Amino acid sequence: MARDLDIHSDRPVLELERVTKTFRAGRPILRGVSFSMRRGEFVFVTGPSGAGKSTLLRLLYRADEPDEGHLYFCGREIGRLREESVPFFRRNLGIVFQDFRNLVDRSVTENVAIALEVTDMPARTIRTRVEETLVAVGLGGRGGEEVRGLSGGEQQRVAIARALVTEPVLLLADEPTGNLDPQLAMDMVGLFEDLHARGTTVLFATHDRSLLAARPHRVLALEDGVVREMRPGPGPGEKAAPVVRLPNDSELRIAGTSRLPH
Amino acid sequence: MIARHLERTAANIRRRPWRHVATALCLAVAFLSFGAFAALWWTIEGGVARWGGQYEVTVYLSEDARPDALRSMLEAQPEVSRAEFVDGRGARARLAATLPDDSGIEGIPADAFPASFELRLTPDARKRGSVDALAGRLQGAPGVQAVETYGPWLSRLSRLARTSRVAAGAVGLLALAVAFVVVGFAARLARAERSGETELLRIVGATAAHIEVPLALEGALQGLVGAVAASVLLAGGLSLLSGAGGMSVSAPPLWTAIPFALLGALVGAAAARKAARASS
Repeated sequence: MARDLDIHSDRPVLELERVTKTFRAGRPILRGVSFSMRRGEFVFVTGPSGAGKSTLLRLLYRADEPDEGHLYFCGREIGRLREESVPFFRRNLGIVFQDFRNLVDRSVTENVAIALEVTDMPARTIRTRVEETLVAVGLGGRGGEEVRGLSGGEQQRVAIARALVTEPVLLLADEPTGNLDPQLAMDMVGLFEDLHARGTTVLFATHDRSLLAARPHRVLALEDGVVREMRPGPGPGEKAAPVVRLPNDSELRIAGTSRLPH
Repeated sequence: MIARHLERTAANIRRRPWRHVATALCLAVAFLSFGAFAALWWTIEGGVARWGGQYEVTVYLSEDARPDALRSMLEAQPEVSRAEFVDGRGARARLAATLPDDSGIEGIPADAFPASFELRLTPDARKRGSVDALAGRLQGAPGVQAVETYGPWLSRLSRLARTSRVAAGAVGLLALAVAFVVVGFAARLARAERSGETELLRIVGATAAHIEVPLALEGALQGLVGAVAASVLLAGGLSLLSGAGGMSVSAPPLWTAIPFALLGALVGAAAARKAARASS
């Protein structure tokens, strides 16, 4: 699958066309959702609990299929993948959840290495990659520790390391700060931004709008099953400038962008 | 990738060794039941062959019979493979061997026991119809007083053997089914215990084989260990029965332990794989 994907061209990493998903008849959770994401973008998807953020992400990693519409990942339609191709497609994604989904009776290294062990990668390469990734998420030298002994923030770092260790084309984060206190949540967003600054494309779903403040990223709001662009991000080749939050304004506004120097 | 499956299997066993031991023990009990009924079958087969092969037809001689001439006539019959002459003394000695020492049979004169020919039949002739036809032809021959075919007794023995075989086979199959269910439950339990891990594996792009093969390998190993343990217990039990109890037990030959162990591994792997697929 990875070889079939056009992951180096300029085409969007992600494209959704009029995607609809219904669990209860007459009450679609997603209604004709359309948007696209460029390589290297950081996009927030926000909306209240139950707005369909997790459903949207589940469609993206093919845990569910849309009732209508199309989802394309690097030009390839996700819904048309054969069942046996889905695992290979998912190896292009890194996914982080609110509940961490760590194996708490195993070591940090084992929890991260599991993402590479499903491939044919040699054990020595896996060890090296895991160590490098743990350093990147601030857990350098702690690979031997059992996960159950770590704090919530550290456990989420383990989950992020696992999502990153495969060097995914796209990092999907489903409420990754939901189980963390506000300060840790801000730190975690900072970690995602660091990873983004190193070139990772990030789609970050959160209901917590306080996290979006002063973050110069594109924001998509999901309400009543419809997505609307709440704030555009910087254009291609542009560096995001800080967002200024206006007094008494709960909505976020664009402060502007500046072109990167050549 | 096979090495990685084996590593994961070994790691899973190391993490929960006692659950695997308990499953293997349950399997050993199920396989022991299967093996015990296989041994029973074997014993019945041996008994039928032994008893059925002895004295298939006995021809009692009249007083004026000439044994040499009669032997030629008997051995010329197509159903007869061998004719063994037993005189009165020999018949008395055979009977004495089956009676207590103080029975006083030695005091009975040898000529009180009629001389006879004991006929062994060819395998094709060991059918009720053939035996009866032979007995009919011999009945009126010169020098023949009476012909004993043991037909009713052999028929009863055959019926008993057939019933016993069916019972032993049914209970053996039941024991195998129990083994299958035990491994299936163990695999489902393992799958439930590892639901978090399985979900995580799916998310990071594990294929179905990556998830199912270690479970099947664990089932195969549990089945193998259970079957080997059952073989050892069965061999010990049969040896005790033969030695201390003085019973005539026909144990299956030693080589049957190998297919038995392989059968155990196969049952274990198949049940675990089925359970893994059913719960996925």
